[in-house]
Amino acid sequence: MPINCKKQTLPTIEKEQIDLLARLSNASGVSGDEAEVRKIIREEITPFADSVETDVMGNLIAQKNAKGKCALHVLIAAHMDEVGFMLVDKDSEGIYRFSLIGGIDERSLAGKQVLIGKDHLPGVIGACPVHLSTKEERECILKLESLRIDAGPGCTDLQLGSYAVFATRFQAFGPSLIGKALDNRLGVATLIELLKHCPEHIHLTAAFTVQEEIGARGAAAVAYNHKPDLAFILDSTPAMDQPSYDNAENTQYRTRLGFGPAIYAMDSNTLYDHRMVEFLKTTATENGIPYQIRQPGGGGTDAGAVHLSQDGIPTATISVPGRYAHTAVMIARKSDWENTLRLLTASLDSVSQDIFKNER
Amino acid sequence: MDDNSRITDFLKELISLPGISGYETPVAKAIAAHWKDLTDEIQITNVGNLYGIKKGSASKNGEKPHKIILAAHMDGIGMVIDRFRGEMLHFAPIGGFDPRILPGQQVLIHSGKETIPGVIVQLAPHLLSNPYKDKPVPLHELVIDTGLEEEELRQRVQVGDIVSYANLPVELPTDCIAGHSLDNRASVAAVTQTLIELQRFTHHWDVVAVGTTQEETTFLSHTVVHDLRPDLAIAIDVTFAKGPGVDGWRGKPLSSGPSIGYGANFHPKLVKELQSLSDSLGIATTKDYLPSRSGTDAEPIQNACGGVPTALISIPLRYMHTPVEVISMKDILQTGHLMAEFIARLDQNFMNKIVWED
Amino acid sequence: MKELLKKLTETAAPSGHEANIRNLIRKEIEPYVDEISVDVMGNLIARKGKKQKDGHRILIAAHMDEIGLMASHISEKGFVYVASIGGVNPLTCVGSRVVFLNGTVGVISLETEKIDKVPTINQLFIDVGATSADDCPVNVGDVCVFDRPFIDMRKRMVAKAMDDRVGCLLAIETLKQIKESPNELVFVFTTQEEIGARGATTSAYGVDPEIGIALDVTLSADTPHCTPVNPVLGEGPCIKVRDSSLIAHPAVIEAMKKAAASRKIKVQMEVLRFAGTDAGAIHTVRSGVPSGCLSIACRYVHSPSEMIDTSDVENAIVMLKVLLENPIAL
Repeated sequence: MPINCKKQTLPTIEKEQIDLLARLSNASGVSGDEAEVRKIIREEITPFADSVETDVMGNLIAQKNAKGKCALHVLIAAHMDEVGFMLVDKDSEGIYRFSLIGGIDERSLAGKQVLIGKDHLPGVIGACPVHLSTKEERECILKLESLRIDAGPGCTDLQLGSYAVFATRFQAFGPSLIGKALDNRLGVATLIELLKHCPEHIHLTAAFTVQEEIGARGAAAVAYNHKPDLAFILDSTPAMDQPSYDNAENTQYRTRLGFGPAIYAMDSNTLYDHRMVEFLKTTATENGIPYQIRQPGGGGTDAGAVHLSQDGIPTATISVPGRYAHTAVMIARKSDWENTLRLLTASLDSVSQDIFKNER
Repeated sequence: MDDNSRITDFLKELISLPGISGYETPVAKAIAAHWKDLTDEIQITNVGNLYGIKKGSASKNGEKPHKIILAAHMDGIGMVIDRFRGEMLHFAPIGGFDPRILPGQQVLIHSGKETIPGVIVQLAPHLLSNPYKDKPVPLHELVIDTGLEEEELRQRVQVGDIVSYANLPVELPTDCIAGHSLDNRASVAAVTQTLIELQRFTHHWDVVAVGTTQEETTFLSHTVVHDLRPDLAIAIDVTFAKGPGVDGWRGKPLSSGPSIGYGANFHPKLVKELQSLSDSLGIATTKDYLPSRSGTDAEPIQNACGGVPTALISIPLRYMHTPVEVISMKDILQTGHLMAEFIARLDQNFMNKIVWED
Repeated sequence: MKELLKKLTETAAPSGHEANIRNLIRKEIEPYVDEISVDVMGNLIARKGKKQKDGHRILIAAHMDEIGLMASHISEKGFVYVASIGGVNPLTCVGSRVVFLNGTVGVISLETEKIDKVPTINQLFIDVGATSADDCPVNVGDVCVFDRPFIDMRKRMVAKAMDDRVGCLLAIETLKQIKESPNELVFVFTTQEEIGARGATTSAYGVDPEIGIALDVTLSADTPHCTPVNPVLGEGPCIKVRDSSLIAHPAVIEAMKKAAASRKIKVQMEVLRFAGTDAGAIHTVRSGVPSGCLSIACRYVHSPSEMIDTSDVENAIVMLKVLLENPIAL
C-alpha cells in the first residue's frame, strides 16, 4: 500500500473528550474498589460495543466484533484503578488510621484533603502545628504511622475498610490537564475513544482493568481469558523533565511533556517485543505524529502480566507522560494525549499479522 | 470422641511431623490418611498438592456440579544444610524467620531414611567473623551441633539435607495449643473440622479440601486452580494474634473467632455472604483489613487461570514463625464450623450473587 | 567442544534480542532433532524422541540471553547513558568495552571526581567516539553487550556470557550424543532469563512438560578470601537443592545423583540463598512441574570475564546424557 493511502483524518481532543476525562479523574477508584469508574465507563461505551461484561476480578471487558472472518484479535487494556487509602483503625471520634494502596510517597500526604467512601465524604490529613514542633522534628519525614485521616468530630458513620482518595478536582488549564488519577484515567479516556471509532478489520477486546497499581492483577486474568493475537497497553508514565539544581544536563527525565506519546522499550517487568516497537515508530513517522521512546528503566505496566500469559502475547505499552504521578495533583499536556490517541488510531488502522513475519 | 478432642489430637499429630516447603510428603500422608474416610476420593499431584474430594448431591444425581475449594497450605518453614565446618553444620533458611529465635533450638536433620537430632548453637565470640557483642549472631554464622564426630557426621549427613524443628506440641491450661508449624496446620485442622461437620449435612456443591505446598517459599497454589477449576475458593491461613509484640490494629485477640479478609484480594460479594452468614449464626468474627495484597494463598488462587472469586479466613496466632506458635482450639473449630455452614447453604443459584455491579 | 563454546560466548545477544545466538544454535542442532520452532517470546524449541513406557516429557532449558545495557539518553555531546538489562555490576563496567548490535563499539566510563563509592548504572556513560548527539550512531533503546574474546586456559576457560552459553553447550552436546531415550525430550533455548526467566515462563506453558531441568551456572565460592562453601571449580557438576526461585523436587535431585553415581562422577550439592534460574519459572506453570537444575560452578558471574572449569563441563555432559537416557521416577 503506498504511503499516501495511509493518510487519514486523525482524531482530535475536543471539549467532549475533556469533559469525560474530568468525570473520570474526579471519580474515586482505588485498587480493589473501582466500581464508580467502571460505572461511568460502562455507560459511555455500551452503545458502541457488541458486548460489555464485568469479569470475576472486576475488569470491565468490551468486545467489538470484526466484519469478516480470520480477523486479528487485538487487546487494548487501560487500568481504571488509582492509588489511595483505606481506613483500617479508629483512633477516636472521626479520626482514623489509614493504609496506603499503591506507591505513594509518605512526604506527599500531610495537609491534603481526601474524599472517603462511595459517598465522597470529605476529610483531611493534618499535621502538627509548626509552632509546636521542634526544628529537629521538622527535619524528619512525617511518617504514615503518625498521620491520620480526620473526618471531623461527630462523624460516626464511617466504616473501617472504607477507601479514600485525594480530593483534587480536575481542571484544564492552558495547554495542560491538571488533576488526580490522570494515571490512568487518561488511558481510560483514550481507550473509550478508540472503542467508539474502532476499524472494522480487527476484533477488539477493550479491557478496563483493575488492581494495576498493586501488581497488574486484573490484566493477568484478562490476558488469560481472552488470549489476543497482540496487545496494546495504555498507561501514564512519569515525566521528570525539569532542569536539575545545577543546570547540568538532565539525563534521567524518563519522559518529557510535549514530546508526544511515550513508547516503551524496557521497564522493570517487560522487555518489549522490538517488532511491536518498530511498528509503532513506523506508524508514527508515516502519519507525522511525534513520539518519544520512554527511557528504559524502572516502573511497570499491565504489559508485565499480559506478555507472559500462557505461551506469550506480543505486547506494547504507550503512555501519556505526566508530572507528579501518585500524588494529589498530576500535570499532563493535552497535546501528548491527543497524539497518543492519534498514534493508536493510526496503528489500529494498519495493524496486521505482518508485524510478526520476522522471528522476535 | 467429641469433635474437639478429635481435632486437637489430629492437630497435635500434624505439628509433630516435618513438612518443610518442597518436602511436604510426611505431613501430606498424615492428612490424607485422616481425610480418606471424610471424602470420596484422595489425590496427590506430582508437585505435592493434596486433594480430598467430597462430592455434593448434584454430582451424585449426575448433574453438572459447582465446586468450591478450601485451600490451606501444609508446608512449614525450616532449614537446609549448606556446608560442613568440622563437627559443625551450617544451614540456610527455607521460608522467612527471625534468626534471633534460633540459638538453643533443637532440630531434626532428615538424611535419607535417617533422622539425626541436633541443636542450633551460637559459637563463642572469638570463633565468629565479628564478636557481635550485644548483637544477634546472624543466621549464616549459627551452626548445628549433632554431637557426632566429623568423620561419622560426613557419612551420615549430606549438604542439601532438610532440617525441621524437633519440639513437640504442648497443650496450654485453657484451650490453647503451642508448637511449630501451627502456621498453617491449624488451618488444615479447621478444614478437617469442616469435612467432619459436612458428614452430617447434605450439600449441593462438590467440595475439595486442598493442602497446598510451598506457600512459605515460592507459592504453588495457582496450580490447584489449574487442576480443579473451582467456581469459588476459600483460602485458610493464620493471622497475627494480639499479645507480646503485637498490639496494633493488625492484631486480633486470641479466641475472637475467625478473621475475614477485606481488600482487593477478595471478591467483595463472597466476603459479604460469609460475613452475613456468620452474623446470622452468631459466630463471632473479626475483620482483617488487607488493603492491597494478602501474601497468602488467596492471592495466587484469585489470580490464576483468568480469576477465581476468593475469600480468606484467618485464624489468630501468636508468635508466628517461631517454634512456639500459640493458637486457640475454639478459633479453629469455629472456622471449620463457619465453612461447613456456608457450604451447606450453597445452591445451584449461588453464583448469581457473585457479581460486581451493585 | 571448546570451539563451539568460543563461538557461543562470542556471539552478542542480550535479553530480548536473541536472534544472533538463536540462529547459531539452530544451525548446530537442526540435523539432530525431530522438530524445531520459535515461539512468540523468541524461545528456540527443539523436540527429540517420543515418550515410551516409564518415560516423561522433559523440558531441558538453557538460556541463550546474556546481560547487557540499553541506551537511555544521548547527551548533547554524544555520550550514551544507559539502563541495565539484567544484573549488571557497575564495578565491572568501568573501563570495559561494549558492542552494540549495529556494530558500534564503545568504552564505558564515568565522572570519577564525582564518585566516592560504588557507582550506579545511571552514573555510567558510553563513549562511542561521537562528537555530538547528531553524529552518535546509537539511539535510545539500542542494546549492547560486553566485548571480550573467549580464552582457553586448559583447565579453566574464561569468557563473557559463560552464563549461560555453557548451559547451551551442555544442551547442544547432549542433544547430539543421545541416541535412545524413553523420554520425550524438549530442549528449549530460552530468552530473557536474566530479567526474570520470562522466556522459560511462556515456553514451559507451551511445552507442558512433566519434568523440568534447567542448565545454568552457579556462583562458585573459591576466591582467595572466600569461606570455602560449595560449590567450587573443578569439584564436579552441581545439583541444585534450593535458590530463591525454587525448592528443587526431591525426585529430580535423586535422579541426578543416581545418574552421576552410575558413571562415578563426583557432584556438589548446591544450596544457594539467593538468585534464580529458569527452573524457578518452569516449576510453577499449569499443574506445577517437578523441576531441578544442573549447574556449573562459575567465578565472577555477570562480569565480562566469567570463569569455569573444563572437567566440570565434560562431566556434566556425561551426567546429563545418562539422566535423560533413563526413566526418572517421580
